[in-house]
Formats: sequence, C-alpha cells, structure tokens
Amino acid sequence: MKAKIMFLQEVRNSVDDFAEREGRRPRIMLANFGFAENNHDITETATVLADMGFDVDMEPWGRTYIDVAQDALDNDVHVIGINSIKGEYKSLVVKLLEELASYDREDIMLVISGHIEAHNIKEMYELGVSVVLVDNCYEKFAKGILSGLETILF
Amino acid sequence: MTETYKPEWVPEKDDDKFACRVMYGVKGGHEGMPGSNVDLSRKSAPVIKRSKMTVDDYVEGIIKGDRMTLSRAITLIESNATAHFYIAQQVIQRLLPYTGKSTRVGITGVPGAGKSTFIEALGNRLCAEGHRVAVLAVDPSSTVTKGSILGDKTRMETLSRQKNAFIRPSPSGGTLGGLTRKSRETLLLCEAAGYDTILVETVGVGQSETTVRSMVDFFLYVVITGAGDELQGMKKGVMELADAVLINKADGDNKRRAMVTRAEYARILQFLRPATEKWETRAYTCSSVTGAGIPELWNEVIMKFFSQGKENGVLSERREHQTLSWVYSMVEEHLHNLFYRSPSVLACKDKIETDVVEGKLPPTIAVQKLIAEYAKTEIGDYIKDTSPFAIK
Repeated sequence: MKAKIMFLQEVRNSVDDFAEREGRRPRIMLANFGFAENNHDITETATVLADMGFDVDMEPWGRTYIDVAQDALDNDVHVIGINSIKGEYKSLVVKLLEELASYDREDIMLVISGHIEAHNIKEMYELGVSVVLVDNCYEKFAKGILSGLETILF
Repeated sequence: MTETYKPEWVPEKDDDKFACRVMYGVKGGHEGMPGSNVDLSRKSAPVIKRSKMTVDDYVEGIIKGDRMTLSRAITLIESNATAHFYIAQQVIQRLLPYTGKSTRVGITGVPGAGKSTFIEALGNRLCAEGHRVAVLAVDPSSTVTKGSILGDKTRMETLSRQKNAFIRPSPSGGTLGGLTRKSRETLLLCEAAGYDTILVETVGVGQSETTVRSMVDFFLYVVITGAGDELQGMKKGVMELADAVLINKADGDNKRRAMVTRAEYARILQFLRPATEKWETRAYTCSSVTGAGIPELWNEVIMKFFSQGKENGVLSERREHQTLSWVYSMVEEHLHNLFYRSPSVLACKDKIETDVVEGKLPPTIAVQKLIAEYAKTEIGDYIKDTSPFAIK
C-alpha cells in the first residue's frame, strides 16, 4: 500500500513539473462512444487521473467521432481518452485520427483508457494510438501520457 | 427474406419438431473483414509537434471567428506560465476594441441545482433564434491533488453540437491573476470572436459567485425546492447579488412545491436591497426539461433588464465600475503571488511551518515572522525581475 502511495506521489510530482513548464495541467478528455450515461469505467478513470493531478474533461454519452473531435478542439485538450468501445474501435480510432488531421491538430494524443483485449493492443499502436492502459496500471498509463506530451510539446 | 438453414445438431428424423433456424453471417464489408472501406494501413503513432502561434495569428483568427484559434487563445489566457502571460496580454490589448457588445449573463447555484441543464435549454433556444452563444463553465480544482473533473459538457449534449455555440469548461485552479483575470479575459476573447451572448456558469460555493458577479451584467441565481426555509435565504450572501432568482425543476410532481418556494423567495426578496439600481429582483420558476418558463424568463425579464439598463445608464455605469474593480482585484492577486513566490519567504517557510505544527510558535507570531521575512526582500528589484506585471 505504501509503495502504491509513493508511486502516486511520484506521478503527481511529474505532473506538477509538467504543469510548471506548460502553464497548465495535462488535460485529458474521456470520450464516451458507448450508450450508458453513467459509465462506471469512465468514472473510475476520471477520478484516478484527477487524483494524479490531471484536468479531466467528461463527455456526454453516445458521441460520434465528429463531436468528439470538435469538443477536443473547443476544450483544447492535450489527450483524448477512448474508454472501452468493444467491437467498433478500429474504425472509430481511424476516423477520429482522420478528423483531427483534417483540422491540422494531429498533436492531440489518442489513448485507450478502458478494457481492451491483449491481442488487440499491438494493433492499436499500429493504428496511431499513443498509450494503452494495460492491466489497470494507471501509473504506467499516466507516465506514458506525460512522456508522449513531452515529445509533442517541448 | 434472408436465407436461413437448420443447425447441424437437429436430428434428421425429428426435423419438423425443431423450429430453430440460423441466419448466414456477413460475408464482407464489415470491420476487419475483406471489403471494409476503412483504411487500416496507418502504422505507429506519429509524433507531430504542436504548431506555434504568434500574436498576429491569434488576433486574426479570433476576429475571423475561428473556433480553434479562440480555444487556443483561451488556453493561453489560462496558462500560468509567465511567458504565455506576455503574449496573452498583447492579444487582449489588440482585441479590446472588438469587445463589449455582448449580453453577459452569470449563472450560479448550488451543485445539482440544474445550472448546466438550464443552460442547455436556454442556449438551444438562443441558437435557434440566431444568436451566437458562448458558455464559460468554471469547475473547481481539487486543493489536495490540484486535478479537476470538468463535467459540465455532459449536461449540454445538444448545445455542444450547435455550430453557433461554444462551450468552454475551465478548471478554477492555479493562480497568476487567478479566476478573475482568466474568466474576464476569456469573456473578452469570446466577444471579440463574435459571440453576442455570453453565459458564465459557476458553482455557488464561496468566492466564485462574487467574482462572477463582478464581470457580468445580469446575475441569475438558480435554486431548487426543499433547500431550507425563509431564513436560509435571508442570510447575507448570494441572494443579495442576484438580479433574478430562478426556481428550477418546476415540472411534474414538483411543480406545486416550486410555486410555494417561489412565493417564499418572493417574500424574502421584498426585504433585500436589489443588486441593481432601479431594478426589482424577483423569483421565477422554470423547467429545463419541458422548457416551460424559459422563453418568458429570457424575453420578459433578462431582455427587459438590458433595455431598461441601457436606457437609464445603469449598465454602462456598472461596466465602468467593473473595469475599475478588475484592476484592484488584479493588484490583490498579484500581491498574493509576490508573497508566495518571494524567495526569502520560500526559504524560511518550511522551518516556520514545522515550528507552528510542533507548537513551538503561535500562529500569530508566525505571520509576523513571515511578513518580516517578506519585507526584507528587495521588493523593487524583485518585482522588476519576476513580476509579469512589471513594465519592461
């Protein structure tokens, strides 16, 4: 337990360090392509990330990739998180990346923050996803996001 | 009809006893199958640097009304980095001539009062009438972890899809001008980008509603039924800042109770001094779900407030007053920053803190010591070197 808290503190420190240089906290928007208003997984991801010091944007449910891209631009987020979208993820990821590219905003990172089957992870990276949450290890996930932002922003 | 077949486990002799039939699956064109129209050829995530924007880019983009430039400019305004501060101030300065033409409405209320849902209903209506609506929603940052959860957009599902609406949730955290400067300047940017109605939403807990009051023309207080009796409302606070009190959720079974609550608030309001000169603060009911009461509120109350305010000069007076108070609230915030970032304070802070915690030093003496340390700094030089407000 103690080791876990240490870990959390470590992530918080690097988030603080990021915020100092960027002028604001890393901002992630959790897209909800699903059809449940109160998706427990998204709530969990949101609270964990907020506890690590992220600014977390929540989205209404049942959004299309066009809506999500527009919201990401309006809120000017660093990262879009896709949470557990089961079957149709491939098209959504590709379409979302295309939509962002059409606005010339490919600097917005795309991450998968929900359930994903192990054999799909490699494919996700190939499609253009930057970080995937594996085995619910949020520490690694947050560090992956921060190091990704490091190369994009600075 | 789609072709079907009997499953192979159906025994041949009992053929007609089983009604089960299976449909043939999709042969192609579906995701991950041959014939799919989605291009999956993209390999590994590309690293694309964020493009840099100059002051000219920001100013031109915003005057053109480009949403993406506006959103990036707001980020710039909200940034706590000193380098961004200079650029942001130049942008603001050049955009000032384009500002001041909008209807600024502040909306506050306790969490769960239905502010966001109300904005969704009102905003959609205004968009349908051809207005361009900007919504600035401020959500609190955690004081412990400094993170935040910005959930206002989840309630503004259809409004966020409108082409004429721009919704920007913002975390309240971080200083260097703080909430006052940031929200105010964000409001100005939205005006310059051509939005004619600006709705500022804030959770009514503590300081934020006073801050919002000091930057909007009309201030709406959203309440719900069952939140205490008359006396609760008479306590000094947000009630005396409001230009209208709105009892939300007046629908279905709740309608009667809402009417009772409205009467109670109306009674309290009789005794309070109105927030705006020559304007009577009253209580109204509405339902964000059915939309009842919202057109009346907008057309007969808020619009009347604006036409009356323009006529008798109360509005322009208020805006002048607000600009002045903006200056002084910025001075206060700046002094706050100077103290907490002062190297001599930072140097002795830890020691004094431990002394206080261990009981060696009474808090009052600790304050004296800290202030004494702060007074030792060469303030003049310090301001020149580190302050974003210093004239260079």
